[in-house]
Amino acid sequence: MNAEAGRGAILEARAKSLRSPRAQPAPADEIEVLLFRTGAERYAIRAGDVSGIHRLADIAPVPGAPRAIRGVSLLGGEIITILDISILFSSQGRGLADQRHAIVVGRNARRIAILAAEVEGMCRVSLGALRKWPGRSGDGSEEDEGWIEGIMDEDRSLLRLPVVLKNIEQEVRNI
Amino acid sequence: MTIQNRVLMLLLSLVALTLIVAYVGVSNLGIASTNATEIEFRIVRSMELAAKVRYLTTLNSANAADLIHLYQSGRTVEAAALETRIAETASEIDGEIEKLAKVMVRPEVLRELRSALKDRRDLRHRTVQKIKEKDFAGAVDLRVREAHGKDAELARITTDIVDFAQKQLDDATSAMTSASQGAYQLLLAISLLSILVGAVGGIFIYRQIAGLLLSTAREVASAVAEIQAAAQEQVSSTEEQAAAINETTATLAELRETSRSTADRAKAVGDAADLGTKSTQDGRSRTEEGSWKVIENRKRVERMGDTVQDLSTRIRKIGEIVVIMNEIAEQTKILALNASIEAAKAGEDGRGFAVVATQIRDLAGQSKESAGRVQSLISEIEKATEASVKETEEGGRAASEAATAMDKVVESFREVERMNDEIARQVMQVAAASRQQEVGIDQVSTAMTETDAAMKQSLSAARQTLSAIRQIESHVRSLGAPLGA
Repeated sequence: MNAEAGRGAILEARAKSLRSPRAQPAPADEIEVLLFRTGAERYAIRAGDVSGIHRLADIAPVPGAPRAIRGVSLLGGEIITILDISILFSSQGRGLADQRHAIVVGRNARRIAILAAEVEGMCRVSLGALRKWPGRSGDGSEEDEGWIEGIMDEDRSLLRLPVVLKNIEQEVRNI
Repeated sequence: MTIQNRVLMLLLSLVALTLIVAYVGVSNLGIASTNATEIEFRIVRSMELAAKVRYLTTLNSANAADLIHLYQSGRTVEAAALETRIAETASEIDGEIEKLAKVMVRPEVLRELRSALKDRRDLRHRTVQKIKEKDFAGAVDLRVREAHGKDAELARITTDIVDFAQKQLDDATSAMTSASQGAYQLLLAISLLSILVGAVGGIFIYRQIAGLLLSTAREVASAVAEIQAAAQEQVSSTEEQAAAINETTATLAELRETSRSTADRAKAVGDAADLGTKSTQDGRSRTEEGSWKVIENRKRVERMGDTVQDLSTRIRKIGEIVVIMNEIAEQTKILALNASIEAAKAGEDGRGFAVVATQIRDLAGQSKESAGRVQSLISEIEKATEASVKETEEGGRAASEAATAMDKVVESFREVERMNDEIARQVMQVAAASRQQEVGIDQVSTAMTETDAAMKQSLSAARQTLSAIRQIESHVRSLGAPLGA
């Protein structure tokens, strides 16, 4: 009897430790974002903008496209443009060796995939807790294109994805 | 012929003549001496015979007296026997007288003696006749006359004979003495003459011989000097030869010792070579055993390498599986993220699903993390396995190289063994040659010892020869000095 009782206590303790956390209602200014990394730079985008996450296969380069457009790839049965946002924030682009993920954002015909070395996960972030982006030079002297909505913890940039996509579309049109 | 030789011949002739004269004189003297001796013998003989006749006569006279007495006593038998003896004595007296007659030089004395003896015999017959007639007075009378007459006469005659013989003897002795003195004087004269002639001739001959001797002595002295020099050289040469022989003998002794030492050392080297051969054989056996062990170890290492290789293959497969698991975890994570995104799009309705998706994502992350750790461990294991494989391969190569080296060592041992055998064979030949050399040296040493003894004898003889030559030289000098050399 005692042994049976002891075994039951152990199982109960294990179940408590493994039980799912109870879902909590989200605050009004909080949004859920997807965290990813490209090289050493950390980014976040709103989860609602994300269509899906795919393993990146081959990329077919597109001649004459802007530098940030690495090419197109077949993702989920669709040909989707691949965007390297690291090129947007720096003059030099990174290699494709460690860019193993493609985060598909946008809707319908305006969908585009963002290269990511690693998709770190999701989290909720309060918009009021975001810090202002200091600009590329770090002193706010340059013109703000409005690509970054704010700076999260760990100096992670929360991208303002519609502005980024609009800018890309504008560059494509200018070709 | 030179004058000197003629004079020499003359002197020699004189000496020969003198010697002949002396020989004749001495011969005559000997004859005279012989004659004198003969005369002396006869005289002495006659004196003896006369004395014997006188004795026999006296004896018969006594017997006659006894005969008278016997007949007077009536002892006729004895008287007859005595008469017989008287007759025999008378016969003996006659015989002695005959002998005396042969040596007597005076016949008248001999006749007188015979006459006296006849008278005396007649008187004795008459005396005997008187006795037989028993006329003893007449017999005594006759006996007295015989005794005082005839016997005295006979005694006188015999005395005269003896005296005469004595006188002849004295005369002969005197004559012999005179003859001897004459012969002596003659011989003395001849001797003096011979001495004189001999002296003159001797001086002459002496001068001749002295010259000859001087020349000869000088030649002899020269020859002796040359012989002495040669003998001295011979002595020196012999001494040098003796010294050389001594040195050679000593050298041979040293050489013999050296040969003996060489033989002993060669034997020691041979023994050492044998030991080396045995040690080499032992080392070869152990090396072969070690080589077999190395080969066994190489096989074991190869088997271990195969095992490690198999283990590496299995680990690689495990790694591939882990990669697949990692990929699955990654896919799961992506799916969970997509689920989370869809849940987020669903709003409050998808919140519970988002929680599940988050848990799935966390599990996928844990799986991926575990897969990463496993992959890391597998990588480490692969590295270790690769290192083991490499070490095993290195060990195998080392074992192969060790086996090859051991084979070479074994071959080297065999080569050393062959060389040791060759060395032992050569050393034994050296030892045998040294023994033969030692035997030969012993024989040579024995011969040298005998030669040394002979050389010493030769040296002694040479020294004696030299000494004799020096004595000869001294004698030659002493011989030549009086001659004016």
